[in-house]
Amino acid sequence: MAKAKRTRAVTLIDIAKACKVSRWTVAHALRGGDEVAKDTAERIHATAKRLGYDPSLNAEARSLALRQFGRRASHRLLAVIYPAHIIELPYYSRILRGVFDACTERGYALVVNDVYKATEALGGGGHSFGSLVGSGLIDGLLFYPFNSEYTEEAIARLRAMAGFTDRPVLGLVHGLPSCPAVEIDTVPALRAIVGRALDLGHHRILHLHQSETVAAGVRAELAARGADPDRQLIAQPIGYDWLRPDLAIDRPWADPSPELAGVAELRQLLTGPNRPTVVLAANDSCARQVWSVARSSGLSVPRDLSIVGCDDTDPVPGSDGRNVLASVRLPLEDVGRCAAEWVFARLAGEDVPVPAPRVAAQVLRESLGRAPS
Amino acid sequence: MPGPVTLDDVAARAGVSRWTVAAAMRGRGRVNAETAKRLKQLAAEMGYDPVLTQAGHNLAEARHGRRARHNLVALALPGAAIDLPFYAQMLCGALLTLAEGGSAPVITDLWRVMWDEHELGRGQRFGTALLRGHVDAAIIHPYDQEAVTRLMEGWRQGRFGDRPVVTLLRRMPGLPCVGVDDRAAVIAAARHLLSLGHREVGCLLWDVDAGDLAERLRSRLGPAGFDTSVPLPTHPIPMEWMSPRRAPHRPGEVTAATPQPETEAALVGWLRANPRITALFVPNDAGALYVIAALRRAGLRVPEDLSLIGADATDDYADGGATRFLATIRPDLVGVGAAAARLALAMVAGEPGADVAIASEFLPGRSLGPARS
Repeated sequence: MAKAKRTRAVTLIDIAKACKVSRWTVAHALRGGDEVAKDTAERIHATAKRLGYDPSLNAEARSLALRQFGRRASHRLLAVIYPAHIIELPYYSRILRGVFDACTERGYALVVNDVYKATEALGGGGHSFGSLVGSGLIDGLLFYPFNSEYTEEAIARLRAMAGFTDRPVLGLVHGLPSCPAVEIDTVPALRAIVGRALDLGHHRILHLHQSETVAAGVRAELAARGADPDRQLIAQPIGYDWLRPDLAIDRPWADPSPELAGVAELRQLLTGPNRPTVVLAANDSCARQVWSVARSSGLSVPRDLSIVGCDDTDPVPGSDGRNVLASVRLPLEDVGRCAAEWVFARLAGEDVPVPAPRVAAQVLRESLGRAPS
Repeated sequence: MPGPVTLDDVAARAGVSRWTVAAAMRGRGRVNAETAKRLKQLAAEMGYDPVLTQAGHNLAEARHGRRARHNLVALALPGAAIDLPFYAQMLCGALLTLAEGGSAPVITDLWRVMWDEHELGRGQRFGTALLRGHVDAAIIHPYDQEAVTRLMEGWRQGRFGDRPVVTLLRRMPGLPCVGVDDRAAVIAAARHLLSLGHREVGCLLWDVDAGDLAERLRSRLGPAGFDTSVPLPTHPIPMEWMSPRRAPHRPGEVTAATPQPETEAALVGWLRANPRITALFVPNDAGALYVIAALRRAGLRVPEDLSLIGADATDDYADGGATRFLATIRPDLVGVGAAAARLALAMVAGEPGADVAIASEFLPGRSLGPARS
């Protein structure tokens, strides 16, 4: 078998040679500060970039970068606090996939902690995650605040540990009061869908939402299009049980479970006088539940009622097998990837801002049709 | 600079000598029992973890025999597929079980670990120090047996030594495997087919260990009451048809499998040449969904013209009915992940490893109908 070619990371020495300066100069230039003349420092930075210098790839540079977090060299471990019990749902597994891809590219392994276990683990008692953090083996942390109280507590404990202190921490999709996140902006996509619905002749919209910001966005679009939001928009916050794909996974198209609160009210709304002709659901699973209520109320989609999901993770196949549920495609992998890359950049000593919200895109499919005449 | 809490730290806080702390932790030597208790308690409060310091490591190894436990278990999975329900479900089971057992799961991409070993040399990436010296056990999905064998050789020679390795779903020589036992489920499916009047079934096979699959199926059809004196009719199914990412209903996947008129015509031709076949086993759900679409393009209906059964319960096909459409053999993949984690932890604790098989379940669906006369 031919011996595989060994590649090696670009080091400070390579940059020093290319710039014809000493290694000391390169190190100081990359670290910042005023020991190196400004133009020399700029030249060194440019050369480092050109050669593809990646501080996370060699031990010396890593220790240099990590020194600002008061730690020794990186162990190439990124931790994530995640709702492990529902990791199999596409929404969560796709975010994790993005994180994992970024880790794989940069040679990091990922320590995945369940959100409920993590808090416990950081309380001491010799649990491995606590020991890993305590000994400084974890370089950074991402979290999905599935339970914000637990997550907040876990991060507070992490910050209090000498092995972690101020290392980079970032949220996935949702932040916490103490920590920002790479968020997703669904408003432009929803506004586009509202615009499309108006073009298709709909003039009464039911918006089942989880967030006042999103609700305000839909309202603003109606106003911007010359519609009367007070008359034409019914905005209702929706309970968590409506959003759960796991309720639908093994029994798709079952009648909505009787214990699901609000089914009767929804049925009444969808069949009553002055009924909405289009429903914007809080997520795809919610759209499926609404679809199910519509079906059992004798309404056909999209002939009598248009339904739009949000997240594009829970498909509704039509007669040719293709997904017919109009939805908003969330850049979930992108969120995971951006968040991990931000941590890596911070570890490399770069002062990068938290990435801007990732923008979702509308996906128009058959479930959004012409308004019934 | 903070690092792992050492015996010295504990000694300094307690105002005793390092020797006293070491003796107390070891539980030997002339240390007052009361003092020893106090020191142990203090060490626990300070987060002292013996395996994380060299001295402590040696101490722990001396106590536990050859090696200390680190409470880390590596999970090596195909990184490009962890967002697919098939892998995400195994991941889910393993993560929760490891966390329950006090171990932190470290997930890595198997391909990249192997690639790095070849291209970059040892210890370059992936917190390889951790993977080699600090993980107690590894759980791997050996989808490329040859590559995994090579990787294992490397691990065995390195610091990983003879620590336990458990494989998921596929057997590797000398390693315990957590697999699925679909015997009862397939027999149940076959009985169901018999009750619907089916007397001859066919089976689609892909290249990899395909003959084995047909043989296994035949060995289940017999006990169910099928006549197995004639060989099971089989026909190839292209790998592309079986990719869950390309299943026609998968949302957002822009590359839904494009119809392949020639291979589809071959399948339909084979079915017409074998008119006695009234039901078909397909090796996975995504493949079954593709076959349904292909048959429909050829004017054949499921289940009126042909009954169809899938095999992994990861892709449902909600066609608008009130019950499950695609009949399938559902492997308990969360259970597989959990069993692998339990087995790995048991082996770390010194128990012998043995193969485990998790029973699958038959999920009936409307893709099975009465045999056409």
